[in-house]
Parts: sequence; structure tokens; C-alpha cells
Amino acid sequence: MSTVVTSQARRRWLAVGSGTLLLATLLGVGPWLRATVAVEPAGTTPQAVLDRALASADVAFSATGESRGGLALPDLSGFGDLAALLGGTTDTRVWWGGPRRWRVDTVDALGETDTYGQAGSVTTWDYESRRLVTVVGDASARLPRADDLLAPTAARRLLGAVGPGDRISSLPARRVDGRVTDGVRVEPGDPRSTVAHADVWVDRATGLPLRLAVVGSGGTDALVSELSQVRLGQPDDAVLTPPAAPTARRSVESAPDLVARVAAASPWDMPDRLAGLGAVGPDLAGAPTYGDGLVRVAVLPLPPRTAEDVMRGATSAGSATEEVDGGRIVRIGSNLLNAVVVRGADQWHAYVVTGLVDPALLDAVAADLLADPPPPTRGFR
Amino acid sequence: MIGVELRKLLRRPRTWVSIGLLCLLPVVVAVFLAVTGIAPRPGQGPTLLAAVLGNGALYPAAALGIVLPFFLPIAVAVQAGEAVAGEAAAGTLRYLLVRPVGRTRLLVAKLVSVIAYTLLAVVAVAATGYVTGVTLLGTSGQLATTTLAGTALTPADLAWRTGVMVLYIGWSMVGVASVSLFLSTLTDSPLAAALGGLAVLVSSTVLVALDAAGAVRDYLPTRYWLAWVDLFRDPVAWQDIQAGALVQTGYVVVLLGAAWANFATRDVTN
Repeated sequence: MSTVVTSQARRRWLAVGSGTLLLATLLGVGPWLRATVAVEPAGTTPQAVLDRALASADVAFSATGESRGGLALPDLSGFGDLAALLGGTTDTRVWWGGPRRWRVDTVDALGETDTYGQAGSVTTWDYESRRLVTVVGDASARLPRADDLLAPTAARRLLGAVGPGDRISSLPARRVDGRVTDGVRVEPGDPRSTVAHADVWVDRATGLPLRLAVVGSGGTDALVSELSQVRLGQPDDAVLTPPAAPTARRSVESAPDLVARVAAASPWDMPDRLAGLGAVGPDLAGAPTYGDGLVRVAVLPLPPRTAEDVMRGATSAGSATEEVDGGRIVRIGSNLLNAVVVRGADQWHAYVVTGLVDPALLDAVAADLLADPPPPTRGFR
Repeated sequence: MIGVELRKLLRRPRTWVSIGLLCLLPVVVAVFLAVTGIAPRPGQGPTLLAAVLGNGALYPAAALGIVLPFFLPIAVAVQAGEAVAGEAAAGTLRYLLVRPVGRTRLLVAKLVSVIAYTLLAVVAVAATGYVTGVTLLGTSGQLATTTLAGTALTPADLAWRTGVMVLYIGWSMVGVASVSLFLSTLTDSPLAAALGGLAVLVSSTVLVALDAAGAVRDYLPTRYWLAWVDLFRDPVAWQDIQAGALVQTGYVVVLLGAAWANFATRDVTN
């Protein structure tokens, strides 16, 4: 039997339930509708979209970024935050005035690390260690930083490497962060690549890549990077200037990390071909890259002691050492990025060979390096 | 009715004992830091704690960072869980409602009392943190107070950022209170209401850290709790602070609505 009290209770619960439903609809369905509301198809070819993305380095903007890496790499001593950067989520704030004037903050609940790109130098402020480090010049090789994984930067690098053998195709246009974007899918033409495909969504108004998703040959997302809260326009000069931080420990260096230092000090005259792959560019000093299109292999010569440390770190992380003709190798693998640490029997020649390629190709490069060790450069003889 | 509840809150020794205990932990931490001079290593310990040696003006923020994950929500959940269920457990709820007082008015008075307790607790921790920080950790002048980006913070900057932080954390705790207040109208056991509120928070904390729960993460009550840290960046990152305030407002409106719908017509037997 319905009483006055129960009907009042019903009305009250109905009011609360309706309000809750309305709120959930606004919060949940609203963004979904905003993302999927009909977008006019792109009126251009995928090549034109790719070209616009490559020409977008001068588009000034501010945004927040998120990159999610799915690469299970071991945490090796000397390689900094590489494993966390490529295997976890990195939250960033970005102010981009151009290729020579930008700032990228990597933020978390405990602090932040801010990187300022300026003409001829990169300055890094680390709040937790209160260090302000300026690296002068462009290193020929270095470890990836958080700013390398920003959607525009990573997408431009990837699209810039696309070769004639790789395939590009259009994806349906969609909204990213509320902006209309045109999609391009890149698929390697060479089956030795571990990239199944990479999808890039490019802002139709500016050409700025707003989202990048790299899918490994296993079919899972290996790297997803996206910008949100994008505001176009030149950031304030004050924001792009490194802090004075009077109590910070300051240093000026010429190499940002172990890889840059090792590459700069490499004593070997590297060959211009390895495992059938030609060197990219004429400069074989430091850490040369071989291959073309999306199949590229980087070779980093290591000093003997560093090589031993890296091998020890890799084996303690679960990798096995294998004796091969002319030396030893240790394979480090993930679903996208593979690497082989190589040590020659002469104990002097040692390298890290890495790339987004099948491990068999890295083995072939290692075999070539061990079979025919490069001679010292003229200055080291 | 509101005045009665506020007077009851302020006169009850339990209020001051719980707030005193909340303030005690940051004081103990400051004493250890001051005596040993050993701050947590960078990247470890509560937010900003590594930066407070010689920078005592930052200690209110660090003090709130110390109590925010655990003790502050417990105190608020206990207080809110007690609001209605405590009266029922003591057998006084029926007598309260015999007076010419509407149930909605009583609930509003209880809510105001809980919000007052929450803000009182947050302000007390921040104030204790400031006094302790300046006294024990010092503002030596050797270390300029800086944002997380390394830019200098003037005293005025620090004051308004700390003020907004207190309000933000206070509002986040009102979200906690609304969970326990709703449960407090469902049960006659204040302990069950408080523990229920804490169970919601623990569940939320677990889900926030779970990648598989990414689709709902931004709507979880604890998702933006630590967004107050963004007040100490340069430029201030308002995005998560605004989102956190909105999410808490959603929970407060829905749960207090549910508390009202339930309490206004429930059978009161105690």
C-alpha cells in the first residue's frame, strides 16, 4: 500500500537519481559525443597530410602531453630513465615556440624535470636534485628524453624516416582534443621491422601532429602519445627562459648522457655497410645508423668497461649471454625495440646494436662486426 | 540549529584531540628534520618535504602532504560518519527530531558542522606547519623559496598559493565527508559509516593506479587529490585543480542528495 511517506521518498529518490543520471550523461557522454561527432573527410591525399605534418615544426603552441610506452626494457645502469620512459606513462607540459625555443616539463606528484631547448643548447632543471645542467651543442647520439616522445616531435621523426618502400594510407578523420584531425597510417614495407603500423592524427588547421600510436608486430600498442589542452600561439618569453635558481647546482656539459659521451669518444672507423644495410649519411663517426625507411639499426661503440657493465646489468635482468663466432652477445628484447650487446673476443671491440627491427637482423649486424672488426680511426692509431 | 551544531562541535573535546593529533605528526617530522638536518632524498617521501630544510615557509604544504593520504581522511570520515549515525547509536536522534526541527534542516546543520570540522582541521595543520616550519626549519635566506620550476616565490605568491591549497584540500575532504555522511544516514553504526567511507577511498586509490581502469580514472574521488602540487609549479597548472574541484563537487552533490532523500523519509527507531 502506498502511503504519503513512501510517495515522498519515491519523489526524492527520483529527483536524486535523475540528477545523478544527468550529471553522468554530461560527464561521460558529452566528451564521447564531442570526440565522435561527424567530421568531414579529409580532402587531401595521405602524402599531403604527411608533408604538412613534417612542415609543422614552426607551429607555436602550448599544451599538456601524455605518452604511454609499452616496452618492457630492463633498467640498465647508465641508461637513465630509459626503461621508465619507454615502458610507462609520462605526463608533460609543453610550450613550443619553434625548434630552437621550447620548454617541456615532465611532471609528477613529487616534482618536475624541465627541459629548455634554446639555440645551440639544451638546459635541464631538476627540482628534486636542484640541478641546472646546460648541454652545449647537438650530440650526434643521445638517449631519448621526454620531449622526444611528444606527439608532434615523435610523429615528425617517424614520418621523416618513411622511405619509398613503406606504405602510407588515409585513416578516417576524427577529433583529437576537440580539434579536427586527418589520420595517416604508415606501414613498413620491410618485414624485418617490428612496427606493424603507426597511426598519426594531424591537426587539419595547422598540420600539427596531435596523436601518435605505434603498434608493434604483436598487435599491441607499443607507444601512444597525445596532446591535449592545445592552445595555438607563441608562448611567453618568460616561460621559455630557464630559471635563475640561485641555489641550484649548475654545470655546463658537452654531452648530455652516457650514450653521447661514448659516441663522442668512439675510436673505431665504422664500416659503411653492415648486414646489407647501408649507412645513413656520410658521417660514420660516433654512433652511425644503417638502413633505410622504417628499418634502421643504430650501432653504438662501447668502451670495454662500459660494455662489461651493460652486459652484467642485462644478464642480471634475465638476459642470457651467448658465445658466438668472434665474441659474446647478450640480447635485450621488447615487443618493439630490440638490442644486442656485442663484445669481441679481443676484449676491445664492443657495441650496442639497436633498432625497431627483428632480432635476427641485429644478430646479422653483430656477426658482421665480430667477423670484421672496424680499425681504429686515424687519431687513435 | 546550525549554531547549536557548531557550538557542539567546538565544545566537544574529541574535536580538539583529533585535530591536535593531526597536527602532531607534522610537528614530530619537523623536529626530526631540524635535529638531524636529514631531509628525504630527492624523489622520496611526501611532496615538498625534500625542500623544506631552510625553507620553513614551504612547510605548511609539506605538512598537509604528510597527513593527506591517510590521517586527514580518517579524521574527516570518522567525524562525518558520527554525524547522524552517532545520534542514532546514542539514542538521541529520535529526541532531536521530536523538537520542531525538520529533518532537512537537521541534515544541513550536520553538514555545516562536518564542513566546519574539515576546514578547521586543514587550516590547523597548515597553521601548525607554518609556525613549526619557520621556527624549527628556518627561513635562513640562504635558500630562496622556489616553485617546482625553480623560479623564485615571493611571500605574497606563497601566501595565495598556500591559501588556495588549503581550500582545495578542504574541498577534497568535503568529498570524503559526503560519502561518510550519506552512509551515516543508512546505518545506526558510526563506525560502519566511517569505515565505509574509507573503503570507498581505498578502492578509489587502487583503481587510480590501475591502467586497466583508465576509462573511469578521471571520475574517481581520489584521482586529483594531489593536484594541489600544481599550485607550486610555474606557471600554475590549473587544469587538474579545476577538474578535481569539479569531481568533488559532483560527489558532494550526488551523495548529499542521496543522504537527504534517505534521511528525510527513513524510519527513525533510535
